[in-house]
Amino acid sequence: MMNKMKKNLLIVGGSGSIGKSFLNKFSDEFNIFILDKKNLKKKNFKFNLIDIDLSKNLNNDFTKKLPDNLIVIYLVGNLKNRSLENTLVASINDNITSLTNFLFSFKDKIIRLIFFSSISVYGIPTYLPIDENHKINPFTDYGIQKACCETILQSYCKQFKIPLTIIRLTQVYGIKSAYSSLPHVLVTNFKKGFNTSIKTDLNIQRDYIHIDDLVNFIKYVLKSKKNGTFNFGFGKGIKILKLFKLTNNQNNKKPLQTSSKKFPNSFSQYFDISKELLTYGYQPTINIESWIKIKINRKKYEKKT
Amino acid sequence: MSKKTLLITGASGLCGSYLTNFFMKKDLELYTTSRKKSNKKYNISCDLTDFDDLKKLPKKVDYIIHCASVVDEINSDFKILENNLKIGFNLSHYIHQKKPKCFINLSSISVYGYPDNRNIDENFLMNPISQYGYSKVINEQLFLNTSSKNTRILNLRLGYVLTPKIPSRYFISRLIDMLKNNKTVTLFEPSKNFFNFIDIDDVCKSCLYFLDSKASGSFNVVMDIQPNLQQVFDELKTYFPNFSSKILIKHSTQINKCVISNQKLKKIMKFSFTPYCNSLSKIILNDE
Repeated sequence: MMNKMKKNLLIVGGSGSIGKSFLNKFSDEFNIFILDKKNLKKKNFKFNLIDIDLSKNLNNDFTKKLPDNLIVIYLVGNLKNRSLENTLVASINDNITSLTNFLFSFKDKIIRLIFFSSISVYGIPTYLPIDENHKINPFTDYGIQKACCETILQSYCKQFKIPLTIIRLTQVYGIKSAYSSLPHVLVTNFKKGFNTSIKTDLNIQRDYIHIDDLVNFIKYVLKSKKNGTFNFGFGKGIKILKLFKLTNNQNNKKPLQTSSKKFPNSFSQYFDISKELLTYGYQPTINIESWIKIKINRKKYEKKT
Repeated sequence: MSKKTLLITGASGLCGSYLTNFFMKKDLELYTTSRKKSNKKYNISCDLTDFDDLKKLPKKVDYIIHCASVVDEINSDFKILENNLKIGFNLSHYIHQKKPKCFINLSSISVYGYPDNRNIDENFLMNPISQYGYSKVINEQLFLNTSSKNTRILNLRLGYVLTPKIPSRYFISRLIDMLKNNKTVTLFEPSKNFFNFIDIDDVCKSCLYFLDSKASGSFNVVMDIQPNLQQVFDELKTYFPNFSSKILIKHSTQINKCVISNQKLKKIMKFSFTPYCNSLSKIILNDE
């Protein structure tokens, strides 16, 4: 039910892993609405859901289902790389066309827009840590399409005076969609009793941010009236090698991968989050090393084996 | 009855300038856009990458032929894609608002990414390799999926457009120059390297046909027969009987092996396309 005392928060792409993490966390302060093409309806689902495919031409009538004065968190993102099934066209429509249709239909209802972008818009960094002034030079389809979305938003929101916040994220972990990412794979393999091997330079550094930190950060953003473009991650690079060492199963005979091969496609990327700290003042608290240590609870597994 | 309004974007470009001359003779109220200032009454000087400039465009429009584009197949800078995207997005907004009857977008065969295939139809995998090709794929989708259902959208994927006056940066220009000045000619894989040409006259005729047809969707716009480099060279050589310099044949992996099919277009069009020999002849005659 709508509570007139609360502000209205529309989460576009709310049925994804990040979206789901937001739902319960923000429902005390906001009337929450979700717009997505996947059917999220479950028993006792207490949120207002609008099931629509934004990548197709829209009939503007459906916007009437939503109230005015919407604060929007825009999460839609198709991460798929190109394949023989013309997934490029599908991802363009999910990422760029959907945003365009959304803006065309909702521009009069939006009072603030928070858009989730990605570290991949920077491409291979020319310096580290990456700050917001770093050149935009994406090379993956996802990076290119997120950068395109940013371009569209910057121009359109300026024109229609919609306050815009763009958050460029590093790898988020602690959510279902990240289960195939390195931190989760390392933990899962450790628990199963074997070591992980991947083809990359183990000395490269990455930046990982836990979903709880992201949720708390967004709370800060929502409380503040300040807008702009911000990098958000843990704000510190960690060597992949360090993560491998933490999850090295000593009982396993297969040694830790320490290839002397060079991997020209491997590169480090991590954020400078000082702009965010200065503006919103949220300091991430969950360190990936501590998270892995807790997850694998080494003693427990070593005793067992 | 008042005349129907046609807007041609990018009128100072290669295709835009020929299309403007072609449609000027038709019974239409013509408007064009170009970044360059022009004395022509019907031209609107504006930068379509700038959203604010949309307000300079006609309040009412029946047809649009969109030629404006940053053409650069070599530069891999994101700026190329970004500028073309801005034009595509801004025009999407314009057609979303104005709901013209027909919108013809001059796209490019670069959306396919030049794969090694001799029969590329409109359903072939889109796999662009340049920022320019990528921007063409994005804009095609934007126009198709954000416009009103009352607007017919056509994405015409043009091949290598031959005009009587061609830019000096074009390979054909350089080849003619070598023949004319009796310079050594280097041909890379002449029997495997193909040219998917289309004559500008046929681009104009296709646009005219589509304005009032019922067709919509994507069409490859190329000639019936796509010559290889050897055939092009042999044809051009006939105009320069005094050419006596060396011809070097070299191996290269950087060649275009793809051949685009125009079967979908041929099924609905009633005229035959200009063959490449005629287009090349027009270039030589213009040069003289």
